[in-house]
Amino acid sequence: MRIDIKSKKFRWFVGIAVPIIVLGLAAFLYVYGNPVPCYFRRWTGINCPGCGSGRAAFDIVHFRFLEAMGHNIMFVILMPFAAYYLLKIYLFIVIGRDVLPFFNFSYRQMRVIFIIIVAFFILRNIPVKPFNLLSQ
Amino acid sequence: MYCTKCGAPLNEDAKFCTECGAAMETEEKVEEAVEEKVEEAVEEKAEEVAEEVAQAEVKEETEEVAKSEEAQAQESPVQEQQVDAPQTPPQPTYTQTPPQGSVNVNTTPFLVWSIINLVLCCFPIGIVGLVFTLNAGKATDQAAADEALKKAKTFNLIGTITGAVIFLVYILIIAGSVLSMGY
Repeated sequence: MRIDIKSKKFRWFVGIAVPIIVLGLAAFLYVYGNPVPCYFRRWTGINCPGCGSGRAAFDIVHFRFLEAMGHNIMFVILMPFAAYYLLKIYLFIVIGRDVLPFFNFSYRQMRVIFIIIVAFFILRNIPVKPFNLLSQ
Repeated sequence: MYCTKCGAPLNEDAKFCTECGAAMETEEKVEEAVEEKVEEAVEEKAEEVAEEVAQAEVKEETEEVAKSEEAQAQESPVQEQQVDAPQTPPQPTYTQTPPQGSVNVNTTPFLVWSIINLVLCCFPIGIVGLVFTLNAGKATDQAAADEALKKAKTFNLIGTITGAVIFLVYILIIAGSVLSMGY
């Protein structure tokens, strides 16, 4: 079955279901914390760039931003952009028009982001004083 | 079809461009518009010519005509040719493919998707998706860029599904342990 994303039914469904799911997940996170530990870390013992984002999200929901930054600073910096982009897609489906602007990344900018992620990945795995602050 | 404004590839039934948001007219509408314009232009030209012919006749009646009459006689065939010209409608621009050499890819959605995957779902696959997105941005020809984006899409899909499955398994394990506590 092919879903017609322009149909009224689908738009209503997404328009109502997505906020409920997001609020439900946020409530779950608020009460129980992150249920899914990083299995990459569990299996390899290495902190991946996403490790700590669950705890960071838990702290953000409780408005403890400093602790959240300690768990995973990249998550705290990047996720607002990703959330904004998802909001843009949500509005595109619900309204039918692309109303929010977003950056158009050039190859160079993408490479910089990539290098930052890889550098963060390497640095946070160095178990010495200034670097282990990245993975509390 | 392609966007008439920015050249982005679109669905055949697209009413708006997904890249720049420009309103897309359907083929028939464009053709109708072209035909209407051509008709209007022909009518206008015909009227002008008629007026000029009328003026020429008026001037013929006066005596100081000799030079202007010749001039009009020379001009009017030219005018008629111009009337004939627009009857073959100009090719509408939407049939043009994007210019060769410039790669037309939108990597931003894949960049965002890769990073979400990398941070939230599955780091190893997310980073593969990110690398392919980078390759798409680096590619100099359209085919390579499309190929790289396709791979980025595949890997990101795998990453998202893996993440979702692991999430569900954890939720089920937790639910199971919570339920079994009663016994």
